[in-house]
Amino acid sequence: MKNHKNDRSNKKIKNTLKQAISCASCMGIVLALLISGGCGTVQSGKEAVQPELSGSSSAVAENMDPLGRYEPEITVSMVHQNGDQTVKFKNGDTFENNVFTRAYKEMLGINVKYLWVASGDDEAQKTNLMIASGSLPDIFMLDSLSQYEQLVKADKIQDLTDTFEKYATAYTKSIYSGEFARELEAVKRGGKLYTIPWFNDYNAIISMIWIRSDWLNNLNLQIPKTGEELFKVAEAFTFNDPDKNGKNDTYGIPMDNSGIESAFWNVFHSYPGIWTKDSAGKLSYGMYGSKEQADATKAALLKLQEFYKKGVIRKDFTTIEDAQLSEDIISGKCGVLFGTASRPYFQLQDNTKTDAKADWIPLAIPSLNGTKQTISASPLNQYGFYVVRKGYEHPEALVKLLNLYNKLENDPSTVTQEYLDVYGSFFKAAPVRLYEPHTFFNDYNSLKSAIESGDTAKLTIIQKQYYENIKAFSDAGDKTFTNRGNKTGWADFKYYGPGGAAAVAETYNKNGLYVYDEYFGPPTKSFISKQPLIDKKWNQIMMDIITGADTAEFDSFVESYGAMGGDAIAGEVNEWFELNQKSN
Amino acid sequence: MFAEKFKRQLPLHIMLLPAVILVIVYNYGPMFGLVMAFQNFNPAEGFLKSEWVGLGNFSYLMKVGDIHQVLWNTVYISVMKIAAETLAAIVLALLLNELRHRAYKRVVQTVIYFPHFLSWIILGGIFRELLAYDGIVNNVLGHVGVSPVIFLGDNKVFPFVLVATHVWQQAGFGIIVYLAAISGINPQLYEAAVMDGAGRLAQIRHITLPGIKSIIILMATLSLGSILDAGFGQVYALYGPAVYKSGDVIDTWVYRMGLLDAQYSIATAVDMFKSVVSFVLVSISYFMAYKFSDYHIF
Repeated sequence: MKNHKNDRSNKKIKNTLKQAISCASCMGIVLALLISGGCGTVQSGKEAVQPELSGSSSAVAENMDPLGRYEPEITVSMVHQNGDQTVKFKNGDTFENNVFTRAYKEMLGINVKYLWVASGDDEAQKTNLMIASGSLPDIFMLDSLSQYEQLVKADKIQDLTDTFEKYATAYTKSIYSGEFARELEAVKRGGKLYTIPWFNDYNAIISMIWIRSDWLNNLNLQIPKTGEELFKVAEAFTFNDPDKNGKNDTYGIPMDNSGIESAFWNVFHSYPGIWTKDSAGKLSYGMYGSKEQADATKAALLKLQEFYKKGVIRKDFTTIEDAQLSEDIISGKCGVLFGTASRPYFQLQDNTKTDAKADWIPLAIPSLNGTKQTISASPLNQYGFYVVRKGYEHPEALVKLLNLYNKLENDPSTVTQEYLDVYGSFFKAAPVRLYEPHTFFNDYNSLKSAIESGDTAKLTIIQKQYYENIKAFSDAGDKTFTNRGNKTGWADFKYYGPGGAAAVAETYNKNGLYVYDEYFGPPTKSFISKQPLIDKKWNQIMMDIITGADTAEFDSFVESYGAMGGDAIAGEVNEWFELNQKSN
Repeated sequence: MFAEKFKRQLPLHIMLLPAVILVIVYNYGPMFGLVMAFQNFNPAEGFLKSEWVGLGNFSYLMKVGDIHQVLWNTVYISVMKIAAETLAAIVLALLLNELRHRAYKRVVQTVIYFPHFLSWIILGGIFRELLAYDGIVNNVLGHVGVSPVIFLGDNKVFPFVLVATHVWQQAGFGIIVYLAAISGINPQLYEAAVMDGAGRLAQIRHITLPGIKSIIILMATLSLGSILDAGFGQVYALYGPAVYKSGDVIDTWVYRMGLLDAQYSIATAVDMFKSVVSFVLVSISYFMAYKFSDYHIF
């Protein structure tokens, strides 16, 4: 429904049918690289068709209205990087022609032309190739800071500092205000802003555990409070027939060939993907950068190994992909999901649709042996980086598109019903989107008091929609509501309702349970060139150990981590950290 | 003289031209890209501006150690595939040759030949279903008391799955050459052997096999050149992170590194290494083919 949940950070929806890469196309790619490099810069201007603009371009540039219309209309070449099947178009709409493209044309005089539409792995590959071949569209999104770093260094994208300052509406600017001012600071290079980042409050998608509460009831189990209890529940879900169908057809923890999410590692105080301060005051990689962290990770690995042996994890998890994993969750095969706050909107909701008895509750990540609970968090929580290719004459078009998106979908004072409830799937039909980061706890608190008092007068139009969904679900106790069209009653209830995901995030904050990523500088040189190989190696080691290999394999990995580039990366990270601490 | 000859052959040269252009554009042109192997290549900057690192990428690869594993996997899988495929093709050819019913022989040959035309993207989907943990194969094994095998996730089993499925797909195609070779053997030899009282097996052993020996050697030596191509399509369709250790071959590794992770320099370095080794192997194989079977291209 509304857009507080991240759909990108949830594991990428991989194409189950892998794409065939013929030898010929590989050759073509190499050739494309060759041409782009060999002939210097090839900026194909032909994609950016500019109908009869030459005479009036100065007049257009003078129009500084943040939502002003281009006269005559302009055509912007873009790529659609979230074009997946979850968007449910109505009335014959397509990615090329839908409420957003029509709004762009009518309100801004911008015609959007897509060079391609893709999502998931396919999108990552296409974006990489697009950068490599050098034929960039006018406006596009980068998937990673590494790509951003490369393009800034190569001078291929525009400085947007002034453009943003001049053209962003007050509302658009407000997204990057308060504590979120750090989002713009983090992407400035040499004091200049080359991108408008897309991000959200990390609380909105924070790690937590989802558990089948109807199964707990079936087995007369208490809601687990500690890590030990949680693992007992996972075993009970495997061996004690939680769905009471008389068959041994369930298991505890869903996991696919990409491993398991942060929520599991955090139980053991291991922190994937972030840099934490170690006892010596230096930053080290949260999983195996220091002895302490490596020990934590090893304990987690051993637990997974034990679970694998017992069958709490699917015996063939190494060969299944996330589509199959979702299928297990939806069809009620497993009951302890280590995930994130936004999960009700995905497989969990589908599970409740197929099984009327199914219900899930979110749990704060527990810890073992009575230690303090910790949850890893990356404050920046970026999803993408909107950029404009160098030389494009309307860089402000990007800002205008974002302004309009905010007007239609985010700003409570301008949002109308017409644009709120389209296609489902978090407005993926739009090529550029922004989330409003300040409202996560606001919405939660407003909804909470409205639910308690029944007084909806103070709710914004967006909040009211949540309220109605939650009410419709909780009053009727009727899950069939969720089945009607794009309605998300159950999911909204589990996200913002009493005892939902937002409530868990609130306890995290209240009790100060977060372990933050201490590094938020640009990706370092060694990181860009060495990390992919290290990640590969780690993935392999993890699989090996879970399926029964000796932990000595992990020890030797940790030992060689430094030589594989870990030392160089840690050096650069700490160099930044020292500088940054001094300047603060 | 030369001019006259050239003029006479001009139409032929013109007909050849498109092929030559294609080879230059697609096979020789990309060779300039090898320069990436010696750079810290930033695609946005291109070849001219990217940082030059000399042999840095190669020494980094040696340090990480992946390359040893990947190279070993490639050779191991490839050699097993070549051996198994050759053996299967010879046996099948001999069996087919003994069939007397012509129509039946044709049908059998077509049936075992057919998988050759199926893409691995389709076959991959089929085998993933068949070989799944709860798939048909494990079901059958279960009935005879064998505990289920994770065919596509077990490092001990995976290389053999690759070899078996490869043979199933390719053996039919290999038969053609051997059948042709067998049909080239002088029938009088068989007649003479029958006169001398040789049975079927003795005929195969003393006439058919020696008759196609040179072809067998030729085919084996020629395949030496492709030993570092362990079959990208097949491995890509069947493997997963769990079997990178045993199933990752040079081509899949380069694909993941280069196209998915955008590590162009590292990927190019490995591919270049592969090219150099392949070049040596191809040279050796042609030399040997020439020596053993008087086979030459030039």
